[in-house]
Amino acid sequence: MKKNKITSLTIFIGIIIVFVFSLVAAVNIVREKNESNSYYVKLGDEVDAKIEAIIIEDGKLKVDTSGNALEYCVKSTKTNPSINNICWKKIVDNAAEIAIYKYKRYYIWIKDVNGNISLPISVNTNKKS
Amino acid sequence: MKKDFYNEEIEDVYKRLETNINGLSEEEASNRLLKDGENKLTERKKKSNLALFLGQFNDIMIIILLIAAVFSMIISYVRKESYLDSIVIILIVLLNAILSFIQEKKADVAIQELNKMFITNNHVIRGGIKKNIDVRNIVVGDIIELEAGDYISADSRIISSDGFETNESTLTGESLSVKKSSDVLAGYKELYERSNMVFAGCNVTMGRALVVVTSTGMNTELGKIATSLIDKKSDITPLQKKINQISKVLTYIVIGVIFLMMIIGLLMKNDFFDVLMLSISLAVAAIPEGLSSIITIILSLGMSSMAKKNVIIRKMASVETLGSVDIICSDKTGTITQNKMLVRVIYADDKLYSETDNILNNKMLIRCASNCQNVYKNENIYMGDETEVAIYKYIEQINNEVVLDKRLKEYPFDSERKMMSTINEIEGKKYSFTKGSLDSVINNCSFYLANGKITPMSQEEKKKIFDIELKKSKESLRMLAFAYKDKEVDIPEENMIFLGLIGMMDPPRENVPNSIDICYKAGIKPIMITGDSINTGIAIAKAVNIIDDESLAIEGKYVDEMTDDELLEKIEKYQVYARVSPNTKLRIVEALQHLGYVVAMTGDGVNDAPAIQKADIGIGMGVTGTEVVKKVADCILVDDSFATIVDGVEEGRRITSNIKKVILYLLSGNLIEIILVFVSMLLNMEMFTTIQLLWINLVTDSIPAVMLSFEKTDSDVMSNNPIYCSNRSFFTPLLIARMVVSAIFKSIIMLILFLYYVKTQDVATAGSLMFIFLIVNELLFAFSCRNLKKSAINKNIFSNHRLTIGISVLALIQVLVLTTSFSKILIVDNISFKSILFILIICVIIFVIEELTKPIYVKLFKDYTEVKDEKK
Repeated sequence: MKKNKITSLTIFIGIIIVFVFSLVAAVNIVREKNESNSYYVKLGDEVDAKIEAIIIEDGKLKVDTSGNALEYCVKSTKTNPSINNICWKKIVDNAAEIAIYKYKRYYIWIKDVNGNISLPISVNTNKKS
Repeated sequence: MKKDFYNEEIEDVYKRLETNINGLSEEEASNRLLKDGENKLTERKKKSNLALFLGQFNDIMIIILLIAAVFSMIISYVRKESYLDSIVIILIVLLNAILSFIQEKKADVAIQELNKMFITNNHVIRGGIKKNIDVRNIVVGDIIELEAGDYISADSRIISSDGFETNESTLTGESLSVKKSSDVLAGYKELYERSNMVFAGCNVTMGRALVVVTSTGMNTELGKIATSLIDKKSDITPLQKKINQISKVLTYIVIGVIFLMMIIGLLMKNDFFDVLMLSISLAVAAIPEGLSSIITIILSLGMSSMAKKNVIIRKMASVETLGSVDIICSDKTGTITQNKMLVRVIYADDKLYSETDNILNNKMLIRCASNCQNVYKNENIYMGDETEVAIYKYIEQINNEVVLDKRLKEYPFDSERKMMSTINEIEGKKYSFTKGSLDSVINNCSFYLANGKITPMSQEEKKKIFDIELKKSKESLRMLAFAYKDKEVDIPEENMIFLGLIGMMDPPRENVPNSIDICYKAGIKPIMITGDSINTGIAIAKAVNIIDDESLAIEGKYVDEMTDDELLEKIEKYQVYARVSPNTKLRIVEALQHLGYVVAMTGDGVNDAPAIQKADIGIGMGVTGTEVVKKVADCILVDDSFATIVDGVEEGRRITSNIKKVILYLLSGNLIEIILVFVSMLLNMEMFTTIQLLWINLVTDSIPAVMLSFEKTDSDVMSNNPIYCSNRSFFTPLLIARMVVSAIFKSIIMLILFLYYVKTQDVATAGSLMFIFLIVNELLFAFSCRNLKKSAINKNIFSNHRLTIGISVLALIQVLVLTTSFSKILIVDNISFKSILFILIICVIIFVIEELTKPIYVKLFKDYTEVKDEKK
């Protein structure tokens, strides 16, 4: 009887965790479903911005952009970031600088003023550029 | 048909064994040693080094890690990334296996070194020269000189003897010495009838003999019995069950969460390889890679600490089993008592005397006791029956010497007459002296001697003497009656003159009553098992506080009459078993185990071996134990003392308690990592890299975990607290609650911080700061795990010096590593000092909050799990 209590408690807590995270997951799924596909992977020429250069120097990844590049997102997972993902950061003066780990592959996206997101560019931090 | 050696003349035996009176040559002996092997009982086949090493991979958690390494390689290939993660995982698995392998080998070597303590030598004649040879090197055909006190290492035929007697109780159970000679025997003889043979495992109690070895090792009579004990199926110990349970739980968690991640990830249209990569991270996060090595180290350290308390552990997992014991079945003689029979009381001249009173006036009693015995004294070693030795020493003490008059004849003791007599000549006159049980002696007495006067024996006088004998027996004294004759001495055992009684006792060890009290307080039931009479058993059991009621004692013959069901019904009542046979002992162990108890059983003779092997923890006697018992026992008492068993239990409980702390420590960190890796998948980013997780689980966690094993005994460790019972899981409500609540609390804080740093800085910097957070948290959490219930914030916070030093050194290592170029795979460059300081402060605040909330957990959750059919 008492063993069942512990099992029940464990299951209950597990359910809460699963519920909370399922909720978060469900919200994300719904959001992305509601968003137009036009925000997603675009052909390069529909994005009114371009990544001109990527340099790895002093433990940092430096990205130079051109056009109307508004924000950038750099992460080690390949899945395209949603338009509201917290990884998006403002580009200032067409340049961005991010701290990175060595021996990792990173994926870089840029977003233009219209909210169009580029295809990802991947870079291996083993190499200098 | 070949005759047995006991049927052959010595010259024929020589011919058959191809030897002679001068013994074998060294060359011939070496050849025979090579051919027949060492003279020892075969141990269970040891695993080869390769098998032992490969066995380290036979673990579900290791298999999951290897699968993770394979997936990591696939991802690296597909994405053209570095193979660093997969290489590191494989290296970790290999390192783990190597460490565990080394620890197991070290433990094996330590056990072998300990076993060397029990090696003996014999005097062997080789090439005409007498040599002192390790008994393992004795071969068939060797000539051995045996004398009183020697251990007999091989079955042998007696060539010549002089007053030679051996104790064969290890084989036959008969505790009285057996007279031996070289006379040829005719016809078939049982083992105990082979008076011209000696057997391995027995001891020489008296005299000297020259013998020729007829069989060695597993071919001896001892070896034949031992064969049945070698192939014991090794049962899983309580500790192994618990570790298996942890593996099972973790495996379910890993598989369950990965499954969930896969579904959610795919529903979210995440890249498949991203989901796979995060699954690998989850597997690495969930599995405590260092757990098995750390447990092995802790048990190995436990073996050393037990050895300091005179408990030599032969099987590593027994460290924990000893701490889980519910019942200790202990021998009486030598374990509860001192195994030193001492004279306590004398009845003579119508008076009762104590051992310190002067009875020198009773010259005839002293003369009778001096002559009617067969003690052999060699310098300060006394060999012979223990009651005779006790009387001999007593007479030496009061009379300064034992005067032996010329012996003309002896009528040896036998169990039918229950008497022994000698005929001696004193100043030209013959006397017969008799000793034996009171019943036998007094019924053959027509007179009694008191105060120098010989009076006809009356019924009243007989009754008086019987009453005295009964009273003293109830006080656990063994009473012997003495009588003599000076007329018609050729018929010695009739119409004798009664002289008196001498009472002896094997006193309890001094520290045993205290140990028994500790047992009861600790919820452990002590049971006494003895081959002695029930009255003696009851008396000793009462003296040491095992029982206070005679109805808790039972004789072995009544146990033998019970069916198995009856025994199960009644066994919990009894705590003293008297006149117990080896088979009864085994039944007692089996019945108690059937009822769910964890049973410890002591023993010394080979007849005890089956019960010791069956018990959850078999305890062999280091001083009086035979080689067979020492081989099958899980642990050996160096000093044979009951109190040492209790010390061992206390140490075992301390180690069990510390293992629990280590598990809480390791698994709490793992749970946080599981939650955060799962969340990071939902956030579509990687919070921790695989290498960071491995660094935490292996480097950061390992040293504090091992140092936690040095925690001193909790104050309640020998209390009747069910948490120390073996059938109970490590995963108590308190442990689960602390783990889960702590993990959720810290995960939420870390998540908030992570999101903040991602927003204000970047993903990699945020991940690095969370990595540092985890390191600092683990270092502080180790202090918290020192006591699961009481706050660590007190004046004794640093009292575990090893832990304090370990954590300090580890912190230094972390700082050094994270400031070198190696750090580039662990943290990003240029993390601000302000951020690090902030993280440190948060960690300290969390630590304080957790310590302050400990009493709440203790109030709400039990620190033990209930078991089905709760006993007692």
